[in-house]
Formats: sequence, structure tokens, C-alpha cells
Amino acid sequence: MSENNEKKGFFSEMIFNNPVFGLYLGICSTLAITTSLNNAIGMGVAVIVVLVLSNIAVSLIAPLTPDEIHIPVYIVIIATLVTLVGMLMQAYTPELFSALGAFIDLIVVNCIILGRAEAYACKNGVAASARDGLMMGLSYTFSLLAMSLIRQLLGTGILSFSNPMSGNEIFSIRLIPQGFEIPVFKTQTGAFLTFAVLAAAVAAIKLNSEAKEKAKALEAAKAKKKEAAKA
Amino acid sequence: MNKQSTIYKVLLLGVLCAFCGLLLSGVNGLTAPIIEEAAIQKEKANLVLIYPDAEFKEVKDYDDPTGLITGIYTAEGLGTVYKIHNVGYNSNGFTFLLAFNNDGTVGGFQVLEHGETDGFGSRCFDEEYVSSVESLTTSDSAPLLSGATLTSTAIKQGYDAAKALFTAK
Repeated sequence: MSENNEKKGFFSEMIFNNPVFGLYLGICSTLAITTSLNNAIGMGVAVIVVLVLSNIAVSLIAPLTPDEIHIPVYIVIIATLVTLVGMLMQAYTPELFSALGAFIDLIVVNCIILGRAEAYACKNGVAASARDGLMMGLSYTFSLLAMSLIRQLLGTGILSFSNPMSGNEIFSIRLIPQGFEIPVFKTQTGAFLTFAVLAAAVAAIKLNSEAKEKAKALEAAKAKKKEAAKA
Repeated sequence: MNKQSTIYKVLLLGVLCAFCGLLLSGVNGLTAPIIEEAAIQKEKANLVLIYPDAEFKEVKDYDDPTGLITGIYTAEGLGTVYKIHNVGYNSNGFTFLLAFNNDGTVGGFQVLEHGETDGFGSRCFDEEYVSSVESLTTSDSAPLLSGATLTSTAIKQGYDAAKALFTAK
């Protein structure tokens, strides 16, 4: 996370620094598990925990690690954390663990985690690395939530959420009448369509923002020139 | 110690792996009994779905040459339930229960866990396919499903393995 980005607001970071729609990282799991809000929140929390803890561990061990073995060291840390999270989820949230399946283990190869360890945590202090992990994890979760909201609503017509510990339904609202759902959104085709639309929206917001910033900078430069000419 | 020396690198990786191993072993010790207990409860709950009021006994002594049968339970006076694990499309495989009534008809077909592709392999666990399996007998074989060939073939293999054990009784 650059200083420039740190100055931006929370929601601005969710958009401009978004690992999924902005940097195209962690797309495999995003496309695969975003069929329901439960999956999205479960996966999001798992990735946040792994990201924060791996960033902290990498930040602590980086000064002791020679360059030649830094990748194996980071992978051992990340794989351990993912296995721990998997064990805890299987024990305490079995329904969620079963729904997420192999994608819990595949957090190990989620580009966001190794990417942040390499790009940020190994060069920064513990507190800053933990904050970076939290913000990246929240951005990833935000992406999962956006995808799953659209896919669950259009694919099933229902928005629902269950207790991950017991599997008991907390709420379930039908927003699209039965027979008007679009089942393709439950499949991978729907996942790609939703991803493309959201990624295009984020790109459009970024372009618009950059264009405004350029226009402002041009106006400021013109004003300076005028002032200089007057002087 | 020089950080560039081979001994230092080997030591660092060794210590890190040992620490991670200890941590994993501790958490496994904490979670393994909970996971095992949940699996037993889940299995009992599924056996009851097939034979609601039955008393179940686990059969431990059986010879399954296919290696697909992972558990056998008899429902007193009603039939036998076979727990089967086979691999379809997802390399982790899937687990299901298949019951034969004592008269040779299928008593029930219940999936316990699967990671088959939604809309393709998962169709083998939809009501339509399940009811088609539940209408079979020991003289039939499980049907194959177009678009879910790997999953339905795995179910067929499991069905045949259970049928062989049931008819050999």
C-alpha cells in the first residue's frame, strides 16, 4: 500500500486498491465460491485471517531471511496458517467448510497473500503490515460480497444468510418472484459475466477519476502560467 | 552466524518447519476429536433419513475387492446401508450412502459430501436422479447421466460394489 493510497479513504481504497477488480489477483477462488453470501463471508474471513497473520509473520521474519530462501520461508508460513484455518473451520463451521471445499486449501496459492508478503510485508514494520493485510483482506471480501450478492440474487431470486456454526438460517428474503430467476448466474458462466461487469465498472470509475485529476492538474498549470505572465 | 552460509539457511528453514509442525500438531489435537464426533453424528443422521426408526449396527468384517465401500451398517429387520466413496470429476471424490432392503430393492440413496461441479456432476444428487436410483433392485445397475458421465459412472461402480456384497451375503 503506497503512502498515496494510505491517504485515501476506506471506500476509495476498496475501489482503487481492489485486488480482484483492480489488480486481477485471486480470481480463481472469486469465480468459484461466490454462489452465496455465506460462502463469500466465510472465504473472506478466512483470507483476512491468513493475510493479517502471514503479513505479521513475514514482517517479523524478513530481517532474518536471506534472499535465496525467502519464497520457501513465506510459503511455509502461509501453508501453515491456511492449514490451521482449514482445521478450525472444519471443526467449528463444518457446513461452510464443506461448501468452500478445496478452495480453503487453495488459499495457499492465492496470489494476493504471497503478493502482499513479497511486495509489502517483507519491507515494512509489523503494524503497517498487519494494516495492509487487513485492508487487502477487506477489499477481497468486498469483491466476494459484490459478486455473491449479484449471483445469488439473480441465480436464485433469494438473498439469504445462515449461521456458519450451526447452519441455521438467519434471514431469507425472496426478491425475485419464482420462475423469473436466471439460473446461469449460479454457474461459472454467470461468474465470468458478473466479474466482467464489475471489473469494467471499477475500471470506468478509475478512468473517470484519473481524467478528473488530469483536468484539475491542467487547470492548475494554466492558472500558474497566467499568474507568471501577469507578474 | 553468516546469513549467506548454507548452514544458516538450512537451520532457519528447519527451525521454521519444526515450529510450524508443532503448531499444527497442537491445533490438530484440539480439532480432530471435534471433527470426528461431527462426522459420526452426521452419518447417524443420514442413516436415520433412510431407515427412520431402525436400530443400526456397524458391520466391520467384510471383503470389498473394489475398495469403494468404506462402511456397512445393518438396519435390524429392514436392510443394509453401504457407505461408498468414489472419485467422479472432483479429485477429492464424493461419499454417499446406498441401502438395499432385505427384499433386494433399493432402500435409499443419500449423498453425504461432494464437490462435483454445480449444474453438471451435482445433477446426480438432484431429486430426479436420486429417485431413479431408488426405484432399482439388485438385478439392475445404476443409470448413467449425460453431461455427468464421470460422476454417474462413479455412482454406478459404487452401486455394483454394494450390490456384489449384498448378494454375496
